[in-house]
Amino acid sequence: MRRLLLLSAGLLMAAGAAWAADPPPPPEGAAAQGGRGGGAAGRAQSTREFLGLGVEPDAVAAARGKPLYEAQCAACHGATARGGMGPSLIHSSVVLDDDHGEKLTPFLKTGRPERGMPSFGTLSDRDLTDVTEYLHHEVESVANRGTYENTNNILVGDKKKGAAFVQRNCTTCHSVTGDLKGIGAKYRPLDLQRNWIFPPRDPADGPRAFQAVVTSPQGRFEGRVRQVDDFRIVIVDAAGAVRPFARTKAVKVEIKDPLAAHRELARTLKDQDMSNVTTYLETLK
Amino acid sequence: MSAKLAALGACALAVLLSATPLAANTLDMSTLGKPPVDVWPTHHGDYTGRRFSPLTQIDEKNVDTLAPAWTAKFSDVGPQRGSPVPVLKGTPLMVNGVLYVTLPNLVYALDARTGERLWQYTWVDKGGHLVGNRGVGMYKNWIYFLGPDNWVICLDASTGKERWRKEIANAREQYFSTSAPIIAGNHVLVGVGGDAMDIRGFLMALDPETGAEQWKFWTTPGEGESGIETWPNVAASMRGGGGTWMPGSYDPELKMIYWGTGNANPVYAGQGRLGDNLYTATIIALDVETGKLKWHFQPMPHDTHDFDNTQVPVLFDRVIDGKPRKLMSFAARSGWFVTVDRETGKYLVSQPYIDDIKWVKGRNEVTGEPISDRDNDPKVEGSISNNNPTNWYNPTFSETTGLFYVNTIRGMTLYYKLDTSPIPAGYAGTGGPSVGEAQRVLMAIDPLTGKRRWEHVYPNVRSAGTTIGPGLISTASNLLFTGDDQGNIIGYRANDGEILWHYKAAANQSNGPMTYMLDGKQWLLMGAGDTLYAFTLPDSQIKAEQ
Repeated sequence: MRRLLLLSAGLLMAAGAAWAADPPPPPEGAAAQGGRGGGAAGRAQSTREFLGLGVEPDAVAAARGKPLYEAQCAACHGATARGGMGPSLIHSSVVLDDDHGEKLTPFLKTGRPERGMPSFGTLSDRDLTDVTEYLHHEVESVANRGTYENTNNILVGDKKKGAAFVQRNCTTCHSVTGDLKGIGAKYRPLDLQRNWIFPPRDPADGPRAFQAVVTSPQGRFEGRVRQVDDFRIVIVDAAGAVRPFARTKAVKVEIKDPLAAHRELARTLKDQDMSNVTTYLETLK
Repeated sequence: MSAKLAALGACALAVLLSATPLAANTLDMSTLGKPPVDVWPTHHGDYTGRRFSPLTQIDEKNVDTLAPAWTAKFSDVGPQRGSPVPVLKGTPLMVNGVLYVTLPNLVYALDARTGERLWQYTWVDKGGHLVGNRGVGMYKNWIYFLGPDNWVICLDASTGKERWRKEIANAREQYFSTSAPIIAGNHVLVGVGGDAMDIRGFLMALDPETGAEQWKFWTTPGEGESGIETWPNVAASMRGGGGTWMPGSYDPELKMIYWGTGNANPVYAGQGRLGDNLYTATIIALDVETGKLKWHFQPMPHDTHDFDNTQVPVLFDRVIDGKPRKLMSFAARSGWFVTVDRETGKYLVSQPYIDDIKWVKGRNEVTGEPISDRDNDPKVEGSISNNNPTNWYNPTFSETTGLFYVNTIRGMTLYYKLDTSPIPAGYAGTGGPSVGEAQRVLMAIDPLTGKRRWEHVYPNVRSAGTTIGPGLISTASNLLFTGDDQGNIIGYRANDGEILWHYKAAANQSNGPMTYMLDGKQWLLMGAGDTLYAFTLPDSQIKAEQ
């Protein structure tokens, strides 16, 4: 039995070489966020398809239409077409039922005089189409979350309070002159905020990986956890040997999470403290 | 959409796959509303939303011998618009040995004995979100299906031929449809989803014969209507969200239907809709004949976390202090658990079912509704709050154990507000991914106290998905079935959570399970990714019982 186990461990080691680095988990909700590669444009395109948003607005025409909209329409319908004295145009079925001005352009030539909307027949067809493309572009920027970009300035906390929080809560394990030195230069602020709350577990075989002690009739084995569910655990020991175990009653598994303190932190963290700490850590260049 | 595709759409296709057409397949309407035995005639098996089966052939002793009798793969569907592989998120119906299975734009009739296809109906959409389809409804010999672009399509159950179609909402306004129609009396109940643009949600009843509209309940109030005081202005309410994208439940005695409504719109930015935003993220009880509101309970006032409240209202009866009570329990996506008297909406239990709930700052002691904390709204600089504690996947209530079971997600997420304008629109922000690994936890809750009887934390070193989850089913033989987030389909002892059986599928269980008797065998069906698995006991086990 022992020989068999060793043999199978050996075989798995060979197989394990092909997985020398655990593949990173796919980002959650990649499909929903349109993450099918191709960068920002690809993300926007695949999200548009998935949501059934219809045709892509003509960005060049929309850019020409923007000043026209601002001069002709914004006074009633608001600076970004979300409504003012007149209704929101980005929610208007007249706009949403149109693709490239084929319905809207004739509509704009007539207007709705009975409801106080004048005719815009004095503008050229191209100008009117450009205005409709601008409206479609505004709709796209709302409806297509594949186009969303987080450009928020998140460094609005209180540095001093952030430093005090770090001093109080983090210095058992971390030091601002040691492992945290230069952390503000290492990440852009959004990543910094995420990563100080819960650091990425990379590299996969590094000190942040889940660790397990498996006690089976064959002995006691220790290593990082490559995979675990209710029925099976696969660990990789310090020498790189890959050991799978069926989780029978005779097999005891103890899993330790080196990031348990960070999980606890995420559980209890308050928004204000989060913001203060991020603002402080960003100064550690 | 090319002209050619559009033309195809106008003559959507039914393909008869078997040489001999099916004999007329007619549902015995008296089975609707009874506990499902040799039929599964409506989304949850019956109207109660319990997903509880009285069947006992599969039991604690033999469950470990369960094995697939057949599997049906739908990989031939290939990528659908924006969605690389089809995922079964619906619960099939089973009537007279025929299964009705759906994917977005597709209805299949399968031979329940073999999994072979009898006919296939293809809808060619003109838009709508292809996120999933939850199944069909059935009335006599007719099938009702929702296209993603909000068409209700009535098919002949024997041939898959279309009888009529009706458009209930405009896909260009970013309404989309995924729900399974529910047939309650003489009503086909259908709802819609939204979010990409800001919709006004509604639930609609149609005539099963003709598709004519019988009533429409808007989930946000109009001018002068009750609830409008929870909005800053009528315009905000008119685009306030409250989708109805999952099927609800029905009490034929009370003539009341119970539905969960989706999140408020715009999704993550609430500054343009200050107030509780009724009737979004709310449980609504409506008169089935008129669509008039009888009562409501809001487990997520002024939602800013995309916590759709489209979970299953679970109906059950209990004697409390010597009095028979008609109850309803609900585990909301917001993490809030409620048990109410389903006649009046008065609460018996109202409290969080997850630990560390972040968005709540108190409870309204009159109504029992939680009070949400504006300090936990998504912010420009970020806010840390709960992952969605559950989602659309169905819970179960076991008559045998008296417990309510629900798959939940434990973990935190960063929420950012992106749209800071006075009138935000659309999603207007972002939520997720999880900060640290999201953990899947199966909970068994006593619905009369709200206390957790047991929980099972699924071991995993990876983050569990938070939107596609497995539904549950319980049976009278003290069993509970559901899946984990690593492809295992698992059978538990319902009273204590002991694992008795598992089966490794090629993908995570992705739909609500069902069970029924056919040819003297109890069948258990689960969808996992693009494959439907039909489990039975081996003949030797069944003979041993007889």
